Amino acid sequence: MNEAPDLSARTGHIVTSVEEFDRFAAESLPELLDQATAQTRRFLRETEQWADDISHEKLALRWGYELVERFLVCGRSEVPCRPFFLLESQIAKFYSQPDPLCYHKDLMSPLGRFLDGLVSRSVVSRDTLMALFHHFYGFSQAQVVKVLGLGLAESQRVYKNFERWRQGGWQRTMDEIGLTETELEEIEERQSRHPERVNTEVSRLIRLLHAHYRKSEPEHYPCLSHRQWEELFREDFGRDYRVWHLALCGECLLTVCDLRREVLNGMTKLCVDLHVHPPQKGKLMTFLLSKEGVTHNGTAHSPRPLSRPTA
Amino acid sequence: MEQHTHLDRYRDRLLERLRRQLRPERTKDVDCLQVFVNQECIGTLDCAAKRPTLVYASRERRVQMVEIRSDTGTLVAGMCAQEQEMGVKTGQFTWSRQTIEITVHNRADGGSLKVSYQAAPAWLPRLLGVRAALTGLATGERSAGPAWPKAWAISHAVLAAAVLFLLADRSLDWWQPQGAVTEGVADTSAGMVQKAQLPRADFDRLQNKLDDVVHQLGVALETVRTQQEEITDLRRTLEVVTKTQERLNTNVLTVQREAGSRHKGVQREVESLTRLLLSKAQEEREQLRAELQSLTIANDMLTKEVADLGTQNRELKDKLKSAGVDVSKAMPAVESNPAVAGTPKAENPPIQIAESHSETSRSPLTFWVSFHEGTSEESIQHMVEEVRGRRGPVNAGWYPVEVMLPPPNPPDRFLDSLRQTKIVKAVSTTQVVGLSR
Repeated sequence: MNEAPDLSARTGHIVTSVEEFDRFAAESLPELLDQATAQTRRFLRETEQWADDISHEKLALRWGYELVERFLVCGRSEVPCRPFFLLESQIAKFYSQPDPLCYHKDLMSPLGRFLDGLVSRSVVSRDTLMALFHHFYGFSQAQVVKVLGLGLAESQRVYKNFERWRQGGWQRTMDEIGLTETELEEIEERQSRHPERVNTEVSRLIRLLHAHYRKSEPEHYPCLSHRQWEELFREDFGRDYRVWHLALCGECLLTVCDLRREVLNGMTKLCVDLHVHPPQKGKLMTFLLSKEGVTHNGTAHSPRPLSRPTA
Repeated sequence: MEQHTHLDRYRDRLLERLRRQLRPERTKDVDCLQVFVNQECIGTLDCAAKRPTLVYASRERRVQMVEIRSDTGTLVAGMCAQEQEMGVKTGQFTWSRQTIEITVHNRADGGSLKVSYQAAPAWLPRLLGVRAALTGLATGERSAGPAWPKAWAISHAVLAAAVLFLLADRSLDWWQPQGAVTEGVADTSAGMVQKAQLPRADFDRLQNKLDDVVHQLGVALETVRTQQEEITDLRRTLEVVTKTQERLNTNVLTVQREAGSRHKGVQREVESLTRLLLSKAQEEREQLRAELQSLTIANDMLTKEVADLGTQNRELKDKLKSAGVDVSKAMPAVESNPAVAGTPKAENPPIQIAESHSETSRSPLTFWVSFHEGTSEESIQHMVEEVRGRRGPVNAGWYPVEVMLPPPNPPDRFLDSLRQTKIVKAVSTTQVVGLSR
């Protein structure tokens, strides 16, 4: 019974220093997260994207978490302020943007959530961006370096990205998405039973996700022609563009793989080949298993050649 | 129920992550930092560089939200600027022994951002590592990581301790003789002590001065660096302005060229039209001139013919007169001999023919003419005489006139020329109604 007045008193509380802001935020974290989740839920309801199930609840929690994460860092520069009101205004500003979330009913399945979570994270994390090449196409770090035609320093960075992703990045992302071990096993089991069907579905969904998340980087958004890509690699410029755009555009990656066929000796055709888990450290073992077309957990793979969408 | 438990667990996990966000972690130094403005990545800060700085300017949008994230996606610093807020806003963030300084400058027509990164001094992480290693040894903690970094840290600590010990030893040696001298002399003279202490005081003063100078030098260097950065910003802005101006100039030139070509086109059209009209007028004039010439020639011919006819007429008249005289002389003979008299009559036919020819060639034309008011009788008479006509009595302002027209003169042309005479008001070939009444 005492909780309600306490909460209302907290809502209007003014913090006057950064230390006080941190202290207050630490004490009120559950309420702040609940407020952000409730606002997300309301936005989804109002835009008719809501259904009463656990997937939607998790989606609301995930976006609520991301909003509070931003608030905890950015709110410090706004003191003195009323933290709850500030969070509300930041959420309102976020949802007033065009297409703030990538919502599609097919993305509510464990597979859809897995893919959405990965691509969504890749927009802010370079480790995840690099890992997309592995999770979607089964590239090793060396293949990523070759496809992107990176220099020594950038190659080193790619290796570090993969290493960090293997060590903890993947697990952290799975935790943030809210995917359990059971759900991940389900995806893998389904993939082993119907590999062709799963890869077809993945191919369809990543196209949807790429189209949405690539917009978050307007300068790297437009696709290049075959000639422009050729020139870009020949003249050796736009490395940042290559990394960002090719990770989030299957069609251009197909063009580039075709263009750099000579460099990628051994790789015949770019295929969508879903990998749920991060790349293993034992390179020789991974190499041997991948040659036999078997995943790390023994499931069979049936890569689906990536094709350009027909108009 | 199971689903709710699962959801609660997920929520708890997210809350735990947020709590960790509030606790500053001591993580490894980062290599790169991604800078996001309004949730768009605008660049990367290479932390390995010396004092890396990133400058960004937008002419379309203001800088509302700045986020600095590591490669893992961890949000390490961020700043909000309200939409209506203008001016400069600065924030300093310390994260894992590193300092990030963010400066946002919003204007009415956009905004700019400057992010600078400063790594911790190189000795600090080592010291902290040593401390952590020693703490770990003391508490007997075991971690899953490899053992060699700890051994490395411990060796560093031992080395540092040895260096400190040696330094202390040396300083003691240095102070020892001075102290002995001071003690020995203290009994005899206090002035000597002062003398011994003087260089020390001077040394301190010099040290202080040196510190001041170093500090001022640092400040000056910082100022120079800031100015250099500002100059760089200014140069960039100048380049942008120059480019815009060049583009504007090009546009103006293009517009001028287009306007010139259009103007020329219009002028050309007008000229061609004028030329066309002039050529038409010229043609018409030529035609008129040709007609006039032909008319003049015809007129000359007519005048000549008239003159010839006049001459012939005169000759005929003379002949007729002489013939009349001859007739009057020969009359009695004719009267006495009608048959003979009939013979000269037979000689007359050519004259008769000539007369009858002139009669038939001159056809009589009767027309009615009215004159403008105020036209004098003299003028009317003069005009009638000019056309060699005979005037009848005036009736209701219309004068009946009868003229004998020579053959080449058609009546219409004659009447037209008459109508063009100043004093003539109207000409009619038929009798006007009012006239009959």
